[in-house]
Parts: sequence; structure tokens; C-alpha cells
Amino acid sequence: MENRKISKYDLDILGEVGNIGAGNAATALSQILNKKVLLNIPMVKLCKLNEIADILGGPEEIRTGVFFGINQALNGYILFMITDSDALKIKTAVAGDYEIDENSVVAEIANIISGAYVGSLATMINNTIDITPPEVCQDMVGSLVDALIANVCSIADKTVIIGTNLIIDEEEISGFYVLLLEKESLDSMLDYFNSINKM
Amino acid sequence: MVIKNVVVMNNINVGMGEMQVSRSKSAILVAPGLGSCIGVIMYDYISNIGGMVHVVLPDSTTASKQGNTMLGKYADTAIPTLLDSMIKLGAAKCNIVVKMVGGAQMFNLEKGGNVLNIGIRNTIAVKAALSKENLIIKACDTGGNKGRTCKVDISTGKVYVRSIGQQEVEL
Repeated sequence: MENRKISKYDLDILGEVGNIGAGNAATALSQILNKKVLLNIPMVKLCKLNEIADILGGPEEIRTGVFFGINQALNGYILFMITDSDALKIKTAVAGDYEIDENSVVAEIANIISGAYVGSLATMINNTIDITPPEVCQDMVGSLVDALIANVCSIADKTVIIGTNLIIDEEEISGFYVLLLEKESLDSMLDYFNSINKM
Repeated sequence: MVIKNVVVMNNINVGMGEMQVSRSKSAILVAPGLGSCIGVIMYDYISNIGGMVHVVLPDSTTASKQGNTMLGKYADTAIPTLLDSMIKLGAAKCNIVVKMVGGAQMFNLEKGGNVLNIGIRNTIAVKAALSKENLIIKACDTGGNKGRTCKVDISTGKVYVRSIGQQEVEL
């Protein structure tokens, strides 16, 4: 298989894709919680396999991770990661004093905002994207992401990480949103955007 | 106050797809946050040479043929490469003891069996690669659904494993 080189221009496109996706996700989150949600400048990085866990916060840091598979037009994963104390804050913000498992609250929130994210991606590439139900897990960052990275990096040693920080201002909650795409999907998406650009 | 025998321990990180071999008495090789990945540890108790590789995927046939440099990434290439580097540093194959850690299944996703069972596939592939080299596994801590951090102390050859919410245990 031919290895497509990813240019700086391509990274700019992906940054914009991440930005629009996360923008929609933030709007959805803001409507559910009725709070102001801020977005950081998106992070788009072409990084090597062994650097990914460090970029996502450090391999041994403990996080609550919610993970979705996406398929059809694009194949890859969406991962939403927050610290345990922030997971508790989200639970309190959403459910108040009700006794609900905080993992399922976080999964549900992540599910709704991922729908918004993927919806905007699908509109952008003018195609259909399916999203799987959420899977929640609390563990070390390295162990949360390695199976996903293994699948994304099965061909090349490098992958593009599209990440955004979502910050709920008043509650000081920040969550990290990551889009990982399989090599072929990434290439076909970039080809699509490049072809539009030439028209 | 007299301080005797102060050895500054040197933590060496073994990231995804990386491999490290050492004979330094002060070195500790660490594979942090192993999920579906597998840390394979080889240690020669006679020459006190140790090595670790952080295996990510079972099979190198999926790899792109163009300039793939990370041999530690795939089980079938990682094991021979680690063994070679150990021998180059002075270890004897007959003295090498092998331990393996990792291969958990973190998520239970219905979609495509690949994510689901990559930990198990890694475990099987590492075991197969080891038996191909006639190496016997002395201890292993694999499977389950918890991430692990694994360390090997090069001066003693002791291997330690830690999961979240649990004490560090010697393997």
C-alpha cells in the first residue's frame, strides 16, 4: 500500500475538522448542562506510536475514558477522557444528589456530544458515519488507549491525533476529546477535502 | 552522617513499540500503562543483563513495507530482536528467563472483533514467538480487564507489576 505523506496543509484541514466537530459537541454539552462551555485551540499532531500516551496526558495518569467506534464512511475511534474528580463533578452537575452511577452519567454525556461531533463530521464529508454505543472504563491512560492505537497504527508507525479540550467554565471541568482515524479513512478524508479545494 | 552505597536509580521508559536492553546496575526498565499491549521481559541471572520490549500488535504482515523501523511493535519481530540484542550485550540464551505482562481487554465493544480481542491475540502471538525461539515463560500476568504498569530491576532481575487501586506485587 502506498504511504501518503501528510502535509502541513493537511494538518490544517484536520485541525479545522476537529474544531468544527468539537464546536458542535461543545454546543450540545452546553445545552444539556445549561452552562458555558469553552473550547481550546485544537491539537493536531502527527505523532509516533511511543509518544501518543504522553501527549494524551501521560501513560500512568488515571482517567475515566469513554470510547466509541466509528465506522461506515470513516473508520476509527472517538475517545473522551476526564479525571475521576471531574467525572464526579459532571455527575453532580447533571444529576444533582440522585444516586446514579457516575460512569453511566459520563457515558451518556459523552454519547450525546459524540453524536454532535460525528454528525458534523458526516455533514462535512457528505456521507454516513455510524457510531457504536459508549464503553466506559477507568484506568491508566496508556492502557485505555493502547488497543485503539494498535488498531489505528497497524500499518504505519505514526498516526494523526485530533484533540480538543472542552472546558465547563463555572465548574472547572475539563475533558479531552480525541479523534483517531484509521490510515485509509484519514487518507480518503484528506483526498476528499483536497478535491473540493481544487474545484 | 555517612551515606554509604547511594545508587541513583534510573527509570528508563519503554514506550509502545520500543525496546530497551541494559546491564546497568542502577537501571529500572518501566513499561507504563499496559492495556492490550504486552511487556516481555528477558533476564539473564548469570550476567545480570535484562531487556524489555513493549509489544503492540501480534503480526508484522500488516506492516507497511516502506521503512518500518519499530521492530518492537509486532510480536513476531519483537521477540527475535530482543533476544538478539540481549545476546549482543553478552547474555547467554540458555540463562535467559522470560516473563510477560499485559494483554488485557479494556473495553467490551461489539464492533469488529479486532479491538475486542487484541490483548488475547497479542498474548497468543507472543507465546508462539517465544516457543519458536525455544524460550520458556517462567511467569506471566496476562488477560483480565485492568491496565498494568510493569517494572524490571536490572540489578536483581525482579519484576514488579502494579494495577490501579492495588499494591505493587512481585511477579
